[in-house]
Amino acid sequence: MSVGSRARWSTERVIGLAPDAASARAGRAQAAPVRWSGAGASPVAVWGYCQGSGKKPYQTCVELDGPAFRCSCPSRKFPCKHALGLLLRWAGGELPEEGEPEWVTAWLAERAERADRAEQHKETTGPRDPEAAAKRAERRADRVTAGSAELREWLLDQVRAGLAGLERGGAEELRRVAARMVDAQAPGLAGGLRRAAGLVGRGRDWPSRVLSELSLLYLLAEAGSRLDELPHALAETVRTRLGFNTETARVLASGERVSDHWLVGGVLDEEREQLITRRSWLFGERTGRVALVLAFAPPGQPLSSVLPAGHVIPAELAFHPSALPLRALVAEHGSPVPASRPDGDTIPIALAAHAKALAADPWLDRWPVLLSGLRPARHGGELVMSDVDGQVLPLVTGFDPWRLLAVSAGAMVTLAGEWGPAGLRPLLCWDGDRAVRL
Amino acid sequence: MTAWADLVGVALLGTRRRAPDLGALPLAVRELAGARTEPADALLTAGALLTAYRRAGWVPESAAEPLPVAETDKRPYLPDAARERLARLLTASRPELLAEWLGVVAEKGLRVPPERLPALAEAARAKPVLRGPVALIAGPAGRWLAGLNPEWRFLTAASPEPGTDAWRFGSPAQRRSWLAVALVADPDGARAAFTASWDSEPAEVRATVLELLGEHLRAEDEPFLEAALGDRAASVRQQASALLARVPGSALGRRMAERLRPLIRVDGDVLEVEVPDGDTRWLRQVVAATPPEFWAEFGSPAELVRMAVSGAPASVLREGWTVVAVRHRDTRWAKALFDADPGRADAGTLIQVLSPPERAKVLARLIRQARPEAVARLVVDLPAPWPPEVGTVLLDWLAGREDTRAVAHAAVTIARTVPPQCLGHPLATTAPEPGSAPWRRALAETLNFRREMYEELA
Repeated sequence: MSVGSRARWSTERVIGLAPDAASARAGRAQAAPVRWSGAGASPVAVWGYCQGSGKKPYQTCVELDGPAFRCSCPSRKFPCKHALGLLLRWAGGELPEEGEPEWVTAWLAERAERADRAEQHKETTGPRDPEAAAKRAERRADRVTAGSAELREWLLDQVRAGLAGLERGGAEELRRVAARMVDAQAPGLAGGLRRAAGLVGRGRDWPSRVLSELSLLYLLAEAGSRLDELPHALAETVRTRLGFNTETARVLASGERVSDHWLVGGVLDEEREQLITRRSWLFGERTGRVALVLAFAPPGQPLSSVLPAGHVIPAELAFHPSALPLRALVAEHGSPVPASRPDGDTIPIALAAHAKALAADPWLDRWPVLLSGLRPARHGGELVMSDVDGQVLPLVTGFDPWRLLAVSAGAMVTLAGEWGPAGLRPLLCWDGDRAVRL
Repeated sequence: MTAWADLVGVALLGTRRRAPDLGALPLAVRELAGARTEPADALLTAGALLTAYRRAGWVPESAAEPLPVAETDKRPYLPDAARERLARLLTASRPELLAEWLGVVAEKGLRVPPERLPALAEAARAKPVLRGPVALIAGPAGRWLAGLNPEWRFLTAASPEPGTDAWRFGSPAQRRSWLAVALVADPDGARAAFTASWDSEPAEVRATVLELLGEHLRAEDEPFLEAALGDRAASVRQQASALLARVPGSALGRRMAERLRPLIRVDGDVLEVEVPDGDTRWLRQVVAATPPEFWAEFGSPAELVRMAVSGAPASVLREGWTVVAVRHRDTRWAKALFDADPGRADAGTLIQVLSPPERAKVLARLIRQARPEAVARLVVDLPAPWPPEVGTVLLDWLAGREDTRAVAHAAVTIARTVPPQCLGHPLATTAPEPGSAPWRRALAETLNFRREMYEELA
């Protein structure tokens, strides 16, 4: 998969592997050289013995390609703090280059063998019963169509009676309907209803925001009930928004392939319903394409870490089929290197790109932007980012601005972030030529 | 946009009561939504279109007021390894190590990565001991941030300015450092500054003033100290009395000497003491307040300490002399007292009277002669900063020690207090044997951490 991970990683990249902040903290504490003995690194792995609180030191080893971790400690975090501490020492150039000791070679061989077996297994088995699978898909499509029609009628009833009625008990009602949409196997519709439920009665302009949310859902439900009539790419977009998964194999086999050096402009983890979703926004240096790579894991489990924020990685992406090709998979990739400061867009150019994206996918709620020449400013009592002409981009509520402010100190900065109806969420900025995660 | 507001209004009211006015919609939206004849259908369709229309056509407002721009920071950045060290320090809850690191960074004139300033400011907000050190490295960006966040105001008053502003408005640490400098540079101005605000200062500040004044006592300070004998706070009264005894040629000292003289006689090797009413507490106080010169006519400190004492417990005299030695920084007395009893309980206060090499010598002897508990107790009381000689003696001691609780306790202090010159010691350059006691591992870790920290910044 990888072209080679020989170059030492940056410490930021190592810290990016930590499953949570507590792990990052614990990992840093393990980076003290006196805790380690017999530590070393080869082009494929790093390893060492870490003295924990017990008598016997832990055996820790990381295969850099992947990466994959192994440690004899009982931690259920992945990677554990010992693996992080070891990688931090390696990133700091503290580990001698040498050949792998036997226990490491044995583990690497074992892993390689397992991977081979899995590969063979996949080749020999294939889809178990294509006929049954097709039947299942057909049944689901029918349920989604029925669910869409039901939601459409329900929304029409709400608007006939007036949304003002939602203020009393409306949120529960919306969540109840959301549960019905889960039953109808349309999680996208359920998610939109739950978002609307969260908006009801919140703030003076809640009717405006609830109407936006519900009318877009109406549009989606309507499109969902006549998927066959839509142009192919748009139908794919609607299917995705409704919550149909596109199989990885299909994306890899037939998705549009784009090779480029991709700037990882922001990585953001969000936990919802016992699942962490990691969004990685990519900006293609040569093609000017943007991409969103998603990864999912339960809390405490490793998330894909091939895309470290603030790095540039040569990679071939495979895009999901869509009217707005944005979501992608990493098909092949090389080694990431720290990203120096790129030339970003101006506010008008970024907004024009957003408008064009919305024309293809009106349900788009986040769009990646890479902006140059922004400085912190005040507008109507709020902290905003503004360009040299004084044009204003509001910041999303809940964004902690202090790191960005400290880097800027009032001067122009280049930043990458998400833009959406709620405002700008900066994710990365540059201090000189050094990328800083926000 | 009024068309949108109309749409929201109708949606709230319900299309049964009022139909949406599609005529007010932008042409593109009207064309698409107009085909829907059922009012609710038309409203939701128009709503979806108009939402996308508004999002896509969003125009930024203008006329933002930019924040001021901070001065350019010309300091060079930290080396990369030190940058990671800072990240570790910020997560390690070891404020003493962080303060030490910040001190070195400030001394070298280096710049920390700006994105760390908020975390540093927050750490200093929670732990006031860090405020001075963080203010020293804050630089223009830090001061600029403090202008935006009043909770970080302590970042702005970093440079000890001349004039008394630092005294009048500074943080406790700034006031302290101002006074320490001013007592040397402008003794009269310093005295004028603290006497002016004396009555309104809290007891800790009054104590701090006396502590610093004690380093630079002059005969003229006597009236001020006499007045402080009547202070509201007992601790301030005690300090004032201790200082009064030290004022060169002070009236208190003279009075005490006059009282003591008729009670003391030396007969050969015996020091005869008469204690009125047998009140040994009174005797101890009088001895403590009598200047050291008084004893010259009876013998040298070394001779006096070795004499047998009659008429009073010898320990009472020794305690009094110890106070004299400390108050007057009298090395002859201090040495004599140490020679007589190296494992003494008050060694920590007495040892600071000695010069650095003498301190190390006394410690080395103590280590040979006294129990580890006595050494450990002294280590904890030993005032910092330690001279390198002392640090080396103590590290050697730890290296050869068996595991005992007393030693483990002292190791914590030693690990963080030995001066950087001692960090070439084997304890600071090697990992402990596998299976060592936890305190030994912690010791090696702290020492190695500090050594690496200095190496990175060298």
